[in-house]
Amino acid sequence: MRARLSSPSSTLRMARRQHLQRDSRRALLALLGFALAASACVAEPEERALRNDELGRAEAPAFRFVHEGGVMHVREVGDTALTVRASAADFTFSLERLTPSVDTVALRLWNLPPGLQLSSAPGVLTPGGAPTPGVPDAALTLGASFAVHFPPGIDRVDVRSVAPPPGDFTFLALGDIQEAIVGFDTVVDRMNEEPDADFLLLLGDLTNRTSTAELDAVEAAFSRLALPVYATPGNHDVYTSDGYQRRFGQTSYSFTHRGTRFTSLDSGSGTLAAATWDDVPGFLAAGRDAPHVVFTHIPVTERNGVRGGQWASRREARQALSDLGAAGVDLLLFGHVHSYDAYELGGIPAYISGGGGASPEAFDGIGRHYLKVRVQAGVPSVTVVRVDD
Amino acid sequence: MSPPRAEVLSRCAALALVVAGHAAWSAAQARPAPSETTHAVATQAGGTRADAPVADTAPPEAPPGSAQAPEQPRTSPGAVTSTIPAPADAGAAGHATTALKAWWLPLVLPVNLLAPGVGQLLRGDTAAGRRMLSLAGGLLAGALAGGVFLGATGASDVSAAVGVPLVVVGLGGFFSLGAIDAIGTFSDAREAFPEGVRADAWNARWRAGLSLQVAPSSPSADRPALGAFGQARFTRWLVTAEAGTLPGVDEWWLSAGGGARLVRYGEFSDAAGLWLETSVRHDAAGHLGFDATRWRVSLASTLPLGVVSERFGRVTSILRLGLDPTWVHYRATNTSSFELPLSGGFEVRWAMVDWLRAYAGYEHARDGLVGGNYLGFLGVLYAGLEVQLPANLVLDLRGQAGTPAAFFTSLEWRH
Repeated sequence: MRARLSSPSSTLRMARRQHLQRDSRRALLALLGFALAASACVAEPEERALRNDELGRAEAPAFRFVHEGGVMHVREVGDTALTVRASAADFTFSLERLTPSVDTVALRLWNLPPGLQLSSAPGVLTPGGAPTPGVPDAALTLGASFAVHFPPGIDRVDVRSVAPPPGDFTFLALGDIQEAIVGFDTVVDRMNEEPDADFLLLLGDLTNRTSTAELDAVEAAFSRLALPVYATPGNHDVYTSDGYQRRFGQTSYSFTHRGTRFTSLDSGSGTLAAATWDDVPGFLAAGRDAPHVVFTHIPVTERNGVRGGQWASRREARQALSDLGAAGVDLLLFGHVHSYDAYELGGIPAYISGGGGASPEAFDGIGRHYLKVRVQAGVPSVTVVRVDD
Repeated sequence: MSPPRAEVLSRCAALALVVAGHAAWSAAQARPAPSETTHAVATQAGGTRADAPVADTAPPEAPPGSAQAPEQPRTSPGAVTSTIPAPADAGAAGHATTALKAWWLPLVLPVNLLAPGVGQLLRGDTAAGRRMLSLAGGLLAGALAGGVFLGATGASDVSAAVGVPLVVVGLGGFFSLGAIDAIGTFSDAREAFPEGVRADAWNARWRAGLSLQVAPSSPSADRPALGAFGQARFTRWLVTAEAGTLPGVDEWWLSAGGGARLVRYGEFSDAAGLWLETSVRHDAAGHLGFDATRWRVSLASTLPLGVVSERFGRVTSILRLGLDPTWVHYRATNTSSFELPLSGGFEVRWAMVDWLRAYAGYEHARDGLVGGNYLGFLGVLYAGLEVQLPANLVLDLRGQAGTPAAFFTSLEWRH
């Protein structure tokens, strides 16, 4: 039973009313500000996911570039030239002429596996070409320059890579470099000694604060690596709105390499954006009948939960693990935790490897390391390579 | 990686350490002073209890220069009154201070939050200000120590078990003090304890309600989560039950639990003290492909600040720390996983007037509709208002800043 107040005087009642109005206004304003701030915070992963669709397209007055399949993003565009980075060896793109007087576009492709072949109609692609804008040649390792010719009367040309056939292969995986980019050359040197690796999966946190200087340093370091690099963003790589994506391209994507499916899920914000969730069924369907490796920076869940080094929502994490398990995913690779762990999530073998050098865990004795994954007869097996031993 | 047993033991030790510290401080503050200030406060109607001392019901003396006139004790039929034991220095300091009303007051707010206690110094309550500053310094030092330990050790399994609880409790206590200092800076001096706080969420004898939670930016925005909850709180025991639907799917969860009071903070309220709480929650999420059973064990310290100083009588600080061992069964692969997250957080509740309360807090948990914040390391920040309606009904409106942001509302019968 609620007791009734007895106010001693009308003056006191008025003072109380004023007090109440003032406090109510303050509280409501605080709540409104809080809600607005909260809404602003969660827009970020969605923005990245939506931006993914734009990265594979570019339009200049003279031409239009459209990435049709695989994973590519346009790095720089000039009047009659462009630079495109591939995040898979299996891709298709088209160039459309918009100005009839232009018959050639200079194209620089980079981050390509050595020996990759391109296919197009006769006379469309010729090696060499005019300098491409924006990116120093030193950074464009594993690249090739072409002149793309529009045959008379043809305003659109299609180019595709000739993907390597299915078979056994090896790849490397490494995460969490951050401030340890200084001295990272020794890790690159060690990885260059791997004779049979096809590419490196970067498991996120390449930088500490996503600054331009850090991104430059990362690109410079990996320009010495003899392998193409396919990356997924970490929470330290999304401090600026599009710094990571301008360098490394799409954040959630899927590609096939030698018959094995690879899927990057952008967990840089501790969650998957709604747009990414929309893509997940397609990613999983594409890998259902093949060996499938899913890599994402923040562990979906980690064994030691007290640290909080897993996705922000356990419910979302469990839903994702259920979907991945139902789709027959064969291997999960994570970074984020500056250590090494091997465990199982929902029946899927899972590995955490944050051995790029960022503030290593003091008590586990693992230090800088990377994973070497051998896919043989469709079955991945993982070994740890210590860099400093 | 560390063996699970060591992991569990180190977490339990850290948990016990930090909560014991909070409890010890609270108990020290609640110690009866040599000269006790008698301040009549009506407990909730029908709230007579065997172990509560029934004190005299004389009205409080009017503080000289107080902005408010002396007020008769507000009692409802059948109500009893109890005595708040005041700290030794609360009498003089508490009577001498008045609310600040200068134009530059909003500028003080950041100072309140960054240096809890400065607001009280500005009011002239030197003793309270110093006490808050020193306590805030200790809490911040603890949080920093935990953070530095985590950073220096790379947040390893072992160090996280100690460092994370230290940071959660240290920052939780620090920010609680900041909120309390802000409230104490702006609120009028020597206000009588409002009626509404007598049946607040933390001390109501009976609670039952219906809730709705919606996250506008989540994929399940069009399918809000509905819930129902009930609670009975006895002198030393607590029983709870909750059920609800899972957002976006036609499935449900169920929770039942209880608690026992381990330590009582003064004579103020049966509910003010250190409680051991436990609950079991089962999520049947077949459409999402899993079932999860969570066993939560936590220590909850509920400290009405009226125990510390009359002037903070409208404010309550709640601090929680615990573990959530959880078993998850994945239906597609027919496999199970075990998770052992930390849970905890803090909340500051402010009874602004009889029928309006504001509250804000942080929950270090990620298993609801709303997960942790976008960095992925933390839990959920929230703030809300409770509006007292007729017939013992309470309308709760809450915003939650997590992943995603969500809004929660409930209509509750509270007595």
